[in-house]
Amino acid sequence: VTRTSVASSAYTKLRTAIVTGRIAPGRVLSEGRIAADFDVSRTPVRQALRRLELEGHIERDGRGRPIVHALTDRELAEIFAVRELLEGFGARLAATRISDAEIDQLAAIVERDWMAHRRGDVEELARLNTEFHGLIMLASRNRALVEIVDELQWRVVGLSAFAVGTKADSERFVSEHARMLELLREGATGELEALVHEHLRTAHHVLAAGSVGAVASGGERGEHGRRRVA
Amino acid sequence: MPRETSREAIRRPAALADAAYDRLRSDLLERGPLTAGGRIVAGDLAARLGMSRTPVREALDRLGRIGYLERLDGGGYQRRRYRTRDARDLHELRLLLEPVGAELAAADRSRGPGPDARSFHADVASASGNRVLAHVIELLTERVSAMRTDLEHEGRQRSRASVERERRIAHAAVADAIRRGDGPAARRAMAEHLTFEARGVLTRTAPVEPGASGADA
Repeated sequence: VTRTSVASSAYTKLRTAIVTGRIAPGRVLSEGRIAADFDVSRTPVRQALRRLELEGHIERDGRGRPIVHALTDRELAEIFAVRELLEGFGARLAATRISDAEIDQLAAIVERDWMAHRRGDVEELARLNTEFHGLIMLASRNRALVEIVDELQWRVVGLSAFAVGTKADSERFVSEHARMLELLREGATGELEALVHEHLRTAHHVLAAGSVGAVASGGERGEHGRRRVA
Repeated sequence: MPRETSREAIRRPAALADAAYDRLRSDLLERGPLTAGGRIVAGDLAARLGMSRTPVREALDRLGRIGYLERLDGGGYQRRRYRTRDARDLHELRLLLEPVGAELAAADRSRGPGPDARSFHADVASASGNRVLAHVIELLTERVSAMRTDLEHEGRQRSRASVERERRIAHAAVADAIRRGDGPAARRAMAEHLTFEARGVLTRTAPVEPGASGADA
């Protein structure tokens, strides 16, 4: 195992912990403790923290300690405006470029979506959501788009919205996935792009309504899922 | 995204990583000696630069994510080669985002850019007031630079002076529209400018080479 891969896996693990809400906004992060949790030395943890800071996931408190950044309403609005542009466009390209094999993969995801929804398994729903939207981006056949969306990782913020929404929210998201699949099959570019915009506006709304802090509590599930950070 | 949030606490390591990044980036842009030999390995490079490995490794990772380098299966990196398709992909995205940025910038004239700035596209993007949009556009323009290192050595280029002149005129048209607060005109001018520039890049892109890396679907 190379040092680069140790560093990049520390980064991935830490980022996942942040975006899934296992580490709440405002929490002070201890380099030593994270290193112990991940069973790595401090150097890769320090590198991961620096990269997450550049990406805006982490900031420093008054004493220079790293803390998890809580998104502001403005940031949320900026992120969703750009996601609408990028993902709507990606879906439009995908509608004319997607392969039959990819359509089948999406259909399998939608089936698992419904099962996870019935079980109320929000973590599975979140995973499937990433997979579903990631696959559509790949089907756009625009490599720069895939890389940029991946680099920014905002989709993760959106999928947490999904995880913290109510049961009615998740029903709506899953039905919209099913409808997107149909539109991809039909090659209905305009309608699909409009639906993706709508889908993201709903996700934005759910996030904003649940207060931004709620994103971070995606890990704690309740009947209605929506939790505020203490 | 708040990329500038209080770096003070980590200034030293961050500054080293930035220095390594700047050095390598300009070397890649100039097709300089550091990267002439194909495979790039953090350890060797650190020794040649007289720096420690960690900042060099971080710089390589960052250059990989931005699109200057690509990772090799056996470890290390190589300069990333671009093809016509990549130019098309990038153009599609710029045409999607930058006219929107120009239109938003026109809504608040106070932030308008000057047409002579080297960082014109980044300036317009940041004048849009949407920092995420600005960040993405910056990534895209950085990638255009990465791609140009391949393309401008392929011959068939217009004279540098005439390219610069055309570019200045196009930038002035965008900047004027922004200053007048005319969003639709700013949007149109930016789209025209990008389409014109892409025509140049698309015809100058290196042909697909057998075994060229970065094969995709």
